[in-house]
Amino acid sequence: MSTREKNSGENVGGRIELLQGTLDLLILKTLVFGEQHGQGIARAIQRSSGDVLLVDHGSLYPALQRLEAKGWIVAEWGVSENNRKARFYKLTPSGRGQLVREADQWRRLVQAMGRVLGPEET
Amino acid sequence: MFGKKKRECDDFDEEIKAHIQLEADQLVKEGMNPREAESAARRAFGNVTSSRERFYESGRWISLDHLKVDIRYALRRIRKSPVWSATVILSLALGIGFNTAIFSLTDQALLRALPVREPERLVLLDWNGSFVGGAYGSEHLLPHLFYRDLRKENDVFEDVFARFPTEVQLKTDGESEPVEAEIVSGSYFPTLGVRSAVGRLLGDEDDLQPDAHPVAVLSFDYWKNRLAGDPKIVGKRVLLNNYPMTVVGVAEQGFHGVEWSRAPAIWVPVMMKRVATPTWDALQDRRTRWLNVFGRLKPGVSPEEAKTRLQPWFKAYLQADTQREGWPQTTPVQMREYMASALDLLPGAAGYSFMRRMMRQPMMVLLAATALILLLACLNVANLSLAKAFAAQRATALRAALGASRRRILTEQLVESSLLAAAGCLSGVMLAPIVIRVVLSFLPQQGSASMALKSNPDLRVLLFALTITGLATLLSGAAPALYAASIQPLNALKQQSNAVAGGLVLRKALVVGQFALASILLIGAGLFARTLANFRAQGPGFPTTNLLMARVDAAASGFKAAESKPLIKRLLTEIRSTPEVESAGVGQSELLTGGGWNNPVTVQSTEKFVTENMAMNAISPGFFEAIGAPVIRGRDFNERDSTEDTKWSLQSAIVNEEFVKRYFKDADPLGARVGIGSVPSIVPDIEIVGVVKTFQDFGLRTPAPEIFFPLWQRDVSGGAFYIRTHGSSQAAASSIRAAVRRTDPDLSALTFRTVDDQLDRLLIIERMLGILAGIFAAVATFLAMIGLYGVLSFSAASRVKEIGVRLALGASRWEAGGMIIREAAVLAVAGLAIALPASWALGRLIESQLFGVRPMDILTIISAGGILTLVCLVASAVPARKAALVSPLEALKGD
Repeated sequence: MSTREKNSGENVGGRIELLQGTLDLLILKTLVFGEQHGQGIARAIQRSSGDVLLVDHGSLYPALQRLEAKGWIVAEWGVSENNRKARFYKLTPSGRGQLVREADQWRRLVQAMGRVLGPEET
Repeated sequence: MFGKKKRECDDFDEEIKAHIQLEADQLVKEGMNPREAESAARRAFGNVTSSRERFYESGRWISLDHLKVDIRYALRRIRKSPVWSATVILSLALGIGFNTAIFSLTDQALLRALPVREPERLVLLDWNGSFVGGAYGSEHLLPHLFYRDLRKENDVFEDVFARFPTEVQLKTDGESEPVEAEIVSGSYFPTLGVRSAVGRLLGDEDDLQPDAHPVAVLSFDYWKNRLAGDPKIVGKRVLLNNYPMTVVGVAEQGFHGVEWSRAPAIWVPVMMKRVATPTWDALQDRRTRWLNVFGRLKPGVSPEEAKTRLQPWFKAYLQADTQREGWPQTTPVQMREYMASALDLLPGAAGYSFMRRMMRQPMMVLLAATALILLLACLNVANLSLAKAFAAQRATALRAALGASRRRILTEQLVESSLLAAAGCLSGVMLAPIVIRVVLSFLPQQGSASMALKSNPDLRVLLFALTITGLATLLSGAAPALYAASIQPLNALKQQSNAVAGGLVLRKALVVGQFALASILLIGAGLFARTLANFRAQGPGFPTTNLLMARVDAAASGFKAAESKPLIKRLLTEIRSTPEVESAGVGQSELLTGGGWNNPVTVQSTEKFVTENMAMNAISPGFFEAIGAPVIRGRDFNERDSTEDTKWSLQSAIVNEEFVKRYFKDADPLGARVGIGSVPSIVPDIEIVGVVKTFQDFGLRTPAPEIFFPLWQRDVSGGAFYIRTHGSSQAAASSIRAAVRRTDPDLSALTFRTVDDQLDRLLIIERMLGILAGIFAAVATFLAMIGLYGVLSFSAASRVKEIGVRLALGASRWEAGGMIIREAAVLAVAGLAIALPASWALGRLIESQLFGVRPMDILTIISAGGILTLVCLVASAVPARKAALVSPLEALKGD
């Protein structure tokens, strides 16, 4: 009951679990390159982060639902490259706008964090 | 997005299946063997069921889905324990019903603004300081010409109006009957912004010349109830005090004048005052104040600003007043005080009501009492719910263990208590009108009509009921809900059911609280009961049995002043000669009405001094004999005091013992002289010829000095006959009526009342407080008894083992039962102990309502203790019997 969501920043074999809220941004970013199904999105995030970010497949879907409900993405059933039936997600114009806003915010946050933390500690 | 169709769960399942498939494909491509790949993909996905649940719960309709299930489940649980549910609903219904009823009355009597345009801009003018002259009426009175000047010369009011309430004889179709009337200025209706239901209302055109506007407006209620809403009412003639007046219209529904408790049936222009009050006329007299004057502030003008801006005008008015013709001779002190007067503006949004001031404290006391009942009901419900939660502990624990979330369990609990609360609220709202009708039944019929009190709850009252229901639900549901959520599945399942006694402490605390509240209400009820008993025991100072009062108003029946006195004299002779009558006398004002004729008196004995306002009455010879108050010194009035040519010069007076005590220090007052009035020009030329035993005239609280004048020396327009009958007064009434008809068939205006009945009317507030407090205390005690019974039963059941051991070790069955009774006694005593300081504190608040009894009355407290003891015994009877009948063998064998 109380362990449905894993949101800790705990290290699992050198991989970092996602911070709350960042998954939405990553999904939107991934979809910039074209429509994709859930499993593809999870893989793409892992791959493009150099296997650092670990996506809990279970929590991917609530995030997708959330984005769909807000009208930032739309979904449609289609067929994958290897001929499997899958539900494909696509970015909407308002989703694109949201991505720009959120990415900008995120970059500013990272910069600010960097300034506060300073050079790497030994 | 709102138009989008909700995705089906199946569709989502499909997507997850596809996801796992794709992941497995990928893993195979990366070199994993197909069987391992499938399970690795599942592992990577995590808990599929939990994902599906989250998908399901994100839906918009899900909470409604749950609610439906919860309600169905709660209804089943409520039905499964009908006695329990009925007790809860009854507790809440009593708490909410009493609160709603008393709130509704308080709201109507004290709080509500007049149903007029922007009532918050209305102010009531008040002469703050000393006035030189006389007064008719009760409070905040001003002369008619003052109102005229103010209306012409102020710049802070949009408009001002004046009004005076009085009783008139009104004859529309059938018999002439006494009704409330409001004498009003032409600006009354326009300033208030009241509309007409039929025809037109009064205006400035009806306010020009004295006696020149024989028109009137009827109230909506009178028109509907007495005239069946006669559509052709406009233009009809009615007889007001036997004088023809034309009805020009009917005021809008819901408007009952500006004085609560004196709702008029008819409005009369101030210019027709002589018709409405035939015995006195102060229309052009600046030395008599009698009108309530209201102003409607101009928009944006605050009352403070208006007051400041009015003072220069008022000072000028005072100055001019002293220069006027007819200004009496005054002392420098009186002059200084007169000139120091200020004009105050009191809030006028709720109109004016003397009765309201009388009712404020009693209503607050009742409201507080009902709040205590509600609190007690909440404690009772909390207690009952805890009992149920304990009983359901294992089931709850099992459900928690099987994965029901804490939130779900809490929600269920809340749904159940909300349903019960709704049922309690509904029953309470249905109970409220009954309670209101009980309260209204204390009011005299005419009185309740003039208060325009309604027993059916309106929107405000319903909102109030809903609010307190919400509060009650929170109060009574919090403890059980928290308890249910705190159940540790493991512990609850491990423990043996009847050994679970945790929480009993909490329940006992609740019972102690219930007993404390019940004790407070019992003590309060006792104090009010004793107050009423004391009033009755003291009485008015004369025997009231077989004493009848008949009020005759010759002026209102249309008799001229000159005809009235002989008529009243003839009537007295006629009544005295009726066989059922033992003795009879007549007085100018009725006794025991809560008020009466009063005036300052200048007393001349060894020194000269001026009294405050003093009660006075004018009476016929034989009046004291009829009511049974003996003349103890000097003499009664006789025919010598009745020579008619000495009109207006009252030559003899009788005073009561209290007067002698106050002004003569018990020295002989016979031969001393008094004069009516306080200005220096008063010549004390009235001789005290007798002393009568003190009896109560205005009210019952304190014996007041009083002075009596011979009635036959005054203008007599009517009078209150006091008739001592041989047998029951009611039986004699018809012969007395016959005597009245014999005297003059035109004498229609006659009110009959026994003095006992009049006493009841005088004690309305005390009776209402006494009886309602009694009902409240009974309900509170009953609720506390239920609470105690519940706890004792539970406690007895959980102590079976202990009792078994004791019995086995040789304790007697009496001792076993005694254990339970002792437990009850401890709780009750603890409750009473808490109640004592609390009622000491609360007693100060009700002290002014009490009579002849102190707030910490030992007899009352002992009685309350006695009742609580009885309650303890009743509540513990069954549990104690059960404890006494425990079989040691069974008890020890169990488990």
